[in-house]
Amino acid sequence: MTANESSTLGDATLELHRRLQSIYPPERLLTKRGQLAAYESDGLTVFQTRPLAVVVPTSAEDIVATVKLCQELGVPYVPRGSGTSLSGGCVPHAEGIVIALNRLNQILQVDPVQCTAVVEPGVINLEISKAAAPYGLYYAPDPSSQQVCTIGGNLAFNAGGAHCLKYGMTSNHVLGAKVVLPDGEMVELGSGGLEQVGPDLLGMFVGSEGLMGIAVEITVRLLPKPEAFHTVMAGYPSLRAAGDAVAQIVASGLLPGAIEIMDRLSMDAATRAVGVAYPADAQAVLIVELDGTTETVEIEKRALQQLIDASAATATLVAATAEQRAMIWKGRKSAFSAVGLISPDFLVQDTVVPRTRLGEVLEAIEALSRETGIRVANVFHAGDGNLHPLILFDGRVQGELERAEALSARIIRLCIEQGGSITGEHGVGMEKREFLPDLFGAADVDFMRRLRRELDPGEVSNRGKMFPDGEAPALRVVGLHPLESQGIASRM
Amino acid sequence: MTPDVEQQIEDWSQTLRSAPTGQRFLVSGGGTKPSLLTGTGTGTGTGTGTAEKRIGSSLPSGSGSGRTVAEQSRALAESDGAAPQTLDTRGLSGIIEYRPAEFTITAYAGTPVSVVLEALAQHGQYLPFESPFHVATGPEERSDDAGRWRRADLAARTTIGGLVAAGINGPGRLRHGGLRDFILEVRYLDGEGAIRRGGRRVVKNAAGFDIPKLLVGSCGRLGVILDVTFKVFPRPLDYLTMRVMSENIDSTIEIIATLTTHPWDLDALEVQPDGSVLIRLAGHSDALVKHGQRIQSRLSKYYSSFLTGPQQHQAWTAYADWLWGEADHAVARVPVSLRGLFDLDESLDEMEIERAYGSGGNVAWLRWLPSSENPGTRLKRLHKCLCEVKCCGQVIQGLGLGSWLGAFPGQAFYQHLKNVFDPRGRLGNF
Ligand SMILES: Cc1cc2nc3c(=O)[nH]c(=O)nc-3n(C[C@H](O)[C@H](O)[C@H](O)COP(=O)(O)OP(=O)(O)OC[C@H]3O[C@@H](n4cnc5c(N)ncnc54)[C@H](O)[C@@H]3O)c2cc1C
Repeated sequence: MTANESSTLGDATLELHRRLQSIYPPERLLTKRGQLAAYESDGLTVFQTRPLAVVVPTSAEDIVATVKLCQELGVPYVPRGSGTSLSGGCVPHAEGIVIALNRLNQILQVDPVQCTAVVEPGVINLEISKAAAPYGLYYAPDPSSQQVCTIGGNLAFNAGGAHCLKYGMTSNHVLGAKVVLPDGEMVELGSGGLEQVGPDLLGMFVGSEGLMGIAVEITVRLLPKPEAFHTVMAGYPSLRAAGDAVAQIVASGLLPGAIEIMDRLSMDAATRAVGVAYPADAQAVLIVELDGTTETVEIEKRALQQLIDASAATATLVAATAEQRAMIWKGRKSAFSAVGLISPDFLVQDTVVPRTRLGEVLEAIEALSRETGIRVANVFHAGDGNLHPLILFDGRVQGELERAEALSARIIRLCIEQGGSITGEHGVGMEKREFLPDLFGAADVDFMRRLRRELDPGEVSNRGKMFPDGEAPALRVVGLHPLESQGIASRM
Repeated sequence: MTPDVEQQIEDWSQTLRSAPTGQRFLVSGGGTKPSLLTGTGTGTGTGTGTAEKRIGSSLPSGSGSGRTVAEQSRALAESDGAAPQTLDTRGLSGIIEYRPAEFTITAYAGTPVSVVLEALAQHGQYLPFESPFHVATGPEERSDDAGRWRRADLAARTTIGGLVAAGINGPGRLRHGGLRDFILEVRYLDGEGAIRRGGRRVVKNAAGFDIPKLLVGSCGRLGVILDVTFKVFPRPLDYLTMRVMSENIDSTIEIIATLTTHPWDLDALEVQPDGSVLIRLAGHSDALVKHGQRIQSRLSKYYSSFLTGPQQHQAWTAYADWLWGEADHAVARVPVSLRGLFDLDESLDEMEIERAYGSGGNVAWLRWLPSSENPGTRLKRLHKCLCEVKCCGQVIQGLGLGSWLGAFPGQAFYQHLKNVFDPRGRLGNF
């Protein structure tokens, strides 16, 4: 830190830095502006705040000491994995610090007999499957960000993915966690196996968005890799037609591993990004994947083909090789980032509707898009009604962000009215705080907040997230970050 | 929504609100195993559901395992004197909403599980986690061996809320997930009488804290469950069961490890009390036999046979009857891991405790006949044994009912939550 920089810091900040120095060596305590820039925002870049410091623990003890210090000084902390949150879940607090967990990235154990892995929170999702692969096992939840996001972040958000339709969310696959509670006490939740006795404390912790403490060691379930896959891509003349096909497939009693939909805009983006080809005239494609034993897939694929033939599909492609299958998934999983190629900025929405209302809601979203003149791309987990409208805008144009957000809010309310939810997998974070009462009602939100305050009276752990209030001073900047425009730093 | 049920809920809410400090409440379901666990027992026809038992099971029992029910009830009387008031949820009965196309169902807590299962069956759907006495093999048959619990009766008596509060899964847990993975929404009364709701009736929802999951296994200690929404699954078209004979625990563990590390999509994998292993496959009949033969050839060093039709049904019924136990047996449920199975099994041998291992070796069901001279001895030894291996378990039937055995991981976290759900401890403690 230069003399100039430190002279502008207040006494409290200097005291905080001094105390943190007693826990962290200089290379794991970041306080310089340039160092902090990378931590100012997460996957939802419209929120940006500079923290007072970033610490990089390498042990659970570091975390305990840090959390206790934060409680003592009343300094809020934000746990951070890879920072890919799309709801502003790990946006820093201006008067707080970031606890960056990336260095806690050891796979401590892969147990091929019990089919479990014990990992540190900063381990990347896909690394678990890689470590388990020699035993024919894998870690099932597959968020599109799985090459970069951490298991700790997945746990905090109960992350989902395309294959969660059949295999369930992160919560279904987390068997145990060592957790540092907001008061610094370490507890073990879950049995490490499939069964447990007493209230499901682990189930309560998963999805608590960093508000109930930090997971420092996580036991996950591993599954044998399915023996056979059958992946089909079918083109439809409209989103609604694709949505109706989903309802038919679900109602048939088939339980595919994944059912996904991409609309024309997302297809075009994916083609530009990774070169996947889609049926030229289709306004939507449906991706359905069956998995299981050879015998079962053999039978189910016929049933699926009949359903698709009976639907309004105009073209069907069956993946004949593992490469073709991989290509279909590459296109699907690249879609979010690919949309960045067709629009300077975009908001990723994440709402849920009852599956039978899919077609209807998609049409309503199209109508809203036409009405407002804002382009909306749709790419989503159709099988469980989890929509991801991508709202495209140009942040350099005055007022566009606000208009995009207004549209986003209308979509969220529409989904609540239809009996759905405000988030299926990205969490509430900072983005959806205001909508929590719309979903649960003020009294139940208040009750949740009481739970939070019982564990953390000063709301030190991830302050300003999940619950509606005006107190979290997140700076909102559009376009280039100030440091970027000054050429000091670039975003990760 | 049923008006008189809603009125009952309002009345309870009022009762809880206006109750004096010190007043205890016990939530009661159908009086079968899970609801006894919640501190109830409205009579099971065998004389076990006495008032004494109701009181006993609501006691903090982590340290009190092995105390007789009478001892526990005296302790309660000494501790606060007030007789607990029972809230019998059987009056809260009926399916509130069933949307087959959405694969979700909502029912009042007191609805018999059989009613829910029958409604689902009409649309080819089911609750895949199964409760141990609703093991799926085909159409239900009545069995009424004298001296045994009758499963059909149980299905009619067990309440859906009791199932949630007890948090007990059956064989389907291994493949499809537990009750915790299928619960979407719950309406409940907290200890202060406020009517609350957690979760929402959609199959995917990441908003807010996951209160429905927390209430699974809460045994009535955190709230009075009023209604529940589940996600359901299509029921498999057909089943095939294989029985594999195993000579000892080593080979049993080897069989389990071989089966669970291969992509065979087993629908269930249970080790019976006699040591034989039941493997259930589910799906299209055309695929099942071929699939089974592949497994059989993989396990060729063990003797195995296929069970279909009535034979299959009989095998699972007998197993469920065993899990349920006979009325005078004590039964405990202990989550375990495959690696810990060998040592545990050895200790159980020493303690002369019968056992079955469910969900691919993830849970042990222990059963014993308390001796008449020293009824609590085995329970105490078991408690000690589980403490040593850092496991925990719970007595779910018979002497010491509801007692917590072994360690209580995460207790500090639980206590914080309890302080908010039930600050005055009206719903009892573990
Ligand atoms: C291109 C792209 C695609 C995506 N696709 C999906 C998808 O398909 N499905 C999906 O669910 N999400 C998806 N996401 C969102 C995001 O990747 C997930 O939410 C992921 O779980 C976040 O992991 P992370 O390591 O980046 O966590 P972060 O963003 O760093 O943190 C997320 C939240 O978790 C908290 N946290 C982090 N670590 C811990 C810990 N150890 N203990 C307690 N709290 C902690 C943070 O405080 C924050 O609130 C996508 C994001 C991007 C950018």
